[in-house]
Amino acid sequence: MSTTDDGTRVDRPPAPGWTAPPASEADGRAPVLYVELDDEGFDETTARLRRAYKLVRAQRDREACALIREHHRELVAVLLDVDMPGSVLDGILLTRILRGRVPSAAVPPFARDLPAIDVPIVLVTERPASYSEHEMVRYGGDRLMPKPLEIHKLTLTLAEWHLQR
Amino acid sequence: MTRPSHHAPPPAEGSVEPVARALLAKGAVREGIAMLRGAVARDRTEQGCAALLAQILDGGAPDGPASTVELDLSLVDRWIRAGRLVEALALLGGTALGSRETGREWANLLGELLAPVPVDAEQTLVEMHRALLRGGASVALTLLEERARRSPGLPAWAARRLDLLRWMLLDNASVAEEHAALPDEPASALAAALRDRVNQRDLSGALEAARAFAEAHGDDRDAARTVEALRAIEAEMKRLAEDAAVETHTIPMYGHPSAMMQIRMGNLAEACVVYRRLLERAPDDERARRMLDDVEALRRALAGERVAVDERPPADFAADDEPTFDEHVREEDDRWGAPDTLPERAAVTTTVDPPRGVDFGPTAEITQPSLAAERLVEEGKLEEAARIYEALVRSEPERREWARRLALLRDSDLPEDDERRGVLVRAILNVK
Repeated sequence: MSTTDDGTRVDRPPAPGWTAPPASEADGRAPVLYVELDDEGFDETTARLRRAYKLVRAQRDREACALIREHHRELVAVLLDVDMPGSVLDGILLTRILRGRVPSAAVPPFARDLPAIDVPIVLVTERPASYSEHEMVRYGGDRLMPKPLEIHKLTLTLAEWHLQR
Repeated sequence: MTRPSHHAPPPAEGSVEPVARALLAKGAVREGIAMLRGAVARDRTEQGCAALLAQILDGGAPDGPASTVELDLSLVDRWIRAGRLVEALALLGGTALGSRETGREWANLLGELLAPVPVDAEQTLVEMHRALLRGGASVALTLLEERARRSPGLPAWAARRLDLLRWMLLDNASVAEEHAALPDEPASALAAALRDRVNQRDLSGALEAARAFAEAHGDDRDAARTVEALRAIEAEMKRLAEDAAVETHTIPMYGHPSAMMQIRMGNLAEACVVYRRLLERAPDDERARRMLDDVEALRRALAGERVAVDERPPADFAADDEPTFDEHVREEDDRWGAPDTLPERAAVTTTVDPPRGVDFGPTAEITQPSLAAERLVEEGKLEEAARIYEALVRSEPERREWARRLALLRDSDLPEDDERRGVLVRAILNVK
């Protein structure tokens, strides 16, 4: 019996510990598209998620649309910065487009005819208090999460999504 | 003559509902919802959870008294051991428990373990993930262990999950769900001699302890019977391990291996449930009957009850105050839903309904036949596979992969020549 940092007595040996994540690009981790302009933010999120997820990065909307066309069959989730600085589309509008809720005429040419993706869309922000998760869900998102993302919070969201299938 | 007790499974480790209420009261609505979804997916008898979930999703505030349940890491620990991994993750994510050192580590490990598998992962690993999300941690572990013995080996991410799952469920674990239900004070000297070893899942040690006790108490028939039971359980464990080493391409997790996994996890009551199911499917399975008797005997020894009884009930052993075996089976079917939508072959050869609180409830009958169907396709038995896929699609029409496979089978008119059948098999299994 040992005592944890919060004073609870539990009887569990130390965890196996972290092992180095697979280095190869073809390691088999589930790919996730992350649209994030900021290098530092992307690196921090990558460090947190890389044990289970392979982040496919786009910095702006055009690149995101190209990657969705290329990888839509294997993606298990899409993470969008709500603001998406430097892009024509913001995270909310791209979410609505991905969910098919914007008339084609109102969609920029580079974002037209995107393949349908039936995966969770998580909107991420540095200012969670500025947005309403309820609103994000109304636009077709699945969760609003603060940056930097935590692996357990993302996994719980995806698990809940799978349980509804 | 004393009849064997044929214990019903003990109640699961507390209901999730009061914990979910406590989370909701703290404002962790999304985590509370995820916890409720996990509970309902795992066990459809969690009706309180289902009602509360419906209430929240309808926009209502939870009614009823405020929950006073204590949320701490020991609860998370117990839930992990019981295979309630989604609920444990939700509890960590919805409280400060997941932000401190140990809780944070557990949250991250669960976050890795429960993460989606790649979309092109082989079917066994897809089923593993599905089982994990639905309280079937023991099934997932068995699947991974069996798959790891086959060639080619597990991909790196799956091997890592096998390590994590072993740590969570097996390694040095000493407070299993079943044993937590034992009284604080051993109920007999024999129980005291066994308790620690069994709690550590050290069956060899328990056998030695029982032998020592029996030698010191030469006329104790209970001790002698306990030695016999432990010896038989240990022999069965070795036999299954040897079988697994030889039969490296078996359909995993069904029947006896599933029951043994429960024993390895210390879930003796759940093991008994599996053996009862085996007997329901195949009443002549003497091996299952003997194992059920032996595990029941061990349970009685740990509970301080009489062990040395005539274990074999007469055919008409029913009494007014105790259900017959058939009544017990029907009761379990009511609880889990009888697999009456599945073809006879699948029911007889591949399905074992899930142990309560450990496996993944109503979907177990569906998930396991899906592997059987895939195996039948691999073997070219397309007509039989089609029958199973028809039942599966009827049960879960939203499972697109099953529907796709069924459509291929139906559209093909099941060709008779080997070449065309081979093409069809490759198309069904997505083999390029």
